[in-house]
Amino acid sequence: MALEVKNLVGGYSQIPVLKKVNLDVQPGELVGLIGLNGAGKSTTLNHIIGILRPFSGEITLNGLNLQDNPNEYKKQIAYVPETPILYDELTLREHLELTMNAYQLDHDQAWQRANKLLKTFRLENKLDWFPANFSKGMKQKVMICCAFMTDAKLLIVDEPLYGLDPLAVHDLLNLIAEKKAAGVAVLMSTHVLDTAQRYCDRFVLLANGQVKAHGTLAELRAQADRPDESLDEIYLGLARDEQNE
Amino acid sequence: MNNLFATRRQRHFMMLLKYWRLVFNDHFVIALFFLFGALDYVYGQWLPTLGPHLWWSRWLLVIWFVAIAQFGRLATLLKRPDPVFLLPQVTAMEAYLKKAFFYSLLLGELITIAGTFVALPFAMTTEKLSTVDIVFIFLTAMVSKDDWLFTARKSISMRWARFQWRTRAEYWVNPALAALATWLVTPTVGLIVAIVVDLAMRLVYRDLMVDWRAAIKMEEDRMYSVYRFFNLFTDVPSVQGNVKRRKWATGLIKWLTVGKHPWSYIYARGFVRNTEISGIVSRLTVLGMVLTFLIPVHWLNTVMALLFIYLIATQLMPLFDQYDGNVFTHLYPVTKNERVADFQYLLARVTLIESGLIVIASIGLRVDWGQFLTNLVLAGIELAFLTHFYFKLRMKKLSEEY
Repeated sequence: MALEVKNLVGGYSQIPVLKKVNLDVQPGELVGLIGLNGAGKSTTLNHIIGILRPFSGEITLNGLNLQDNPNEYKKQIAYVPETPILYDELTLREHLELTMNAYQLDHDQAWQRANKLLKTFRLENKLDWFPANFSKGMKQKVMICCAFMTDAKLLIVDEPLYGLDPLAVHDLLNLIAEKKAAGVAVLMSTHVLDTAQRYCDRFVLLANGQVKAHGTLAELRAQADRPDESLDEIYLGLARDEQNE
Repeated sequence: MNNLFATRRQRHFMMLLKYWRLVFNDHFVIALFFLFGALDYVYGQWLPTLGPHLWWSRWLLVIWFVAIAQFGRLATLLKRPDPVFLLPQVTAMEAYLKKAFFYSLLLGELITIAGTFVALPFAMTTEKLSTVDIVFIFLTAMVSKDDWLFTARKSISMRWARFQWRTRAEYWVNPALAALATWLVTPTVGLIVAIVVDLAMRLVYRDLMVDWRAAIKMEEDRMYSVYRFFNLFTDVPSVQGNVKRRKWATGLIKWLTVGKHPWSYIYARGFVRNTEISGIVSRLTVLGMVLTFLIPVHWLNTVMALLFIYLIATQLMPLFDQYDGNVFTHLYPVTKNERVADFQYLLARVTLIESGLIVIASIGLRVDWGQFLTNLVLAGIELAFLTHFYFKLRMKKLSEEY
């Protein structure tokens, strides 16, 4: 059991956005967190990475939680945010070094991994540039390099498929596959349902801060009683039902 | 359209008021009062030591009067969307800019009068001046300011915006002509020169239809410097400072970083490369060095040295939570205590360099080793106080705000 979220109630202010969310991600598994704008995807992720404090419920990662073991808990997580967040004052090389320092990685090994990632995303000749001046897609690649360079056991990827060029999307999906093979748990939020359908092992469908359905595509089809439909159609059906309620 | 400038001026005042209120709440302002008091005192002490026939006194007056003409800029209060929304309003814009000109003139003349008052005791000590002379000196300075603002006004017109170098020269040469005539010939001739130059400018530069790009750039530059001033006291969202690589400072960055501590890594680089923070710290250091180098009064010299060390430390404090908006700073598996310790390390090392420089400067032209020793000992005590006690106090205040 890598990540386990039990009865999570939470949000930004007093009013709860999430109402008893349950989900889990196993080692070596890619779980897609699916939902409309405002469904609570990013809120859920923010609770998992520890930016927000749950009102009630429990989040554990390999048996550790944020309250009792903040450092050990955080060391296990790497995060790629929806919008790239970079330091204006640091170069690309320094962003990588900072990540190594923060996660206390062995510099030689980490640099080997980093160089491979930089080559994949064609950033290897920009090490001394300030990424704050990069384009959105290139910034996103920097974020991916930093997160994938770590040896975190849980990767949280928030809507990574926008802003990246098709080649980079392909490369990212390959990287996720490599991480999975190495036993890393990956939780990815997205709207791009056809890609999610092809790559995710399981899905968690969120609406109005609640889990409406979860499981593999086959399970979802069975639950919705739509045996031949795509994830896109199942989700649209669910979302429409939701609006009509 | 007729009220546009009035509405904007009102909103501008409200904005300034908001910031001034914050400024007067800060310790920094107490320090500034001290600074002005000290300067006033030194000025008062200095005047009686001057003889009547100094070769440089007239040149100093010329420089002073050219310099005060540079203060008080043309405030047009134009905004970036204006060229789109106000495009068809050609004639209305003329009226708008006329109002902006008179508003700026009013403020500019107040600054000029204040600057002239400051110079007057010096001028009356070194020169023989009649009442008429003094009146003419004021008038000359005021006409020069009007001329300066007109130069600014014509520099944002379609026809003349291209002649940037000419404008830049006119900003300095025109007031210089009047000042040279005043102090090297007589104040009467000075006034005549100022009036002739002002009239000539208005005859030569006509056809002042606004050049939107130049006008908006000028206004944004002006607002930026206003915000930068307020940013000394409080955080102004639009002033973030630029980032410069400063490869030459790599050694300094290394010296300011603790081993492999992530927070120390960010703080050292942020401090050295962010032009806003390193700029204010180095400007304060240089100013502190110049003052302690020059001030001969023993106790005042020490007060200045200690004051500047305090100012530098307070200006560094905001760096502590500069990166709180970045989600990753919350993700690092690092304790809060380590972060506080890393910042304290940076604070200690930076203030150590700055106060070292100020203390060395206090030896001064007089080669006063006694002064040096007093400042050295007291600065050492102050540093220990600032980096331990005062820093903890600030941190406590910060954590209460969360």
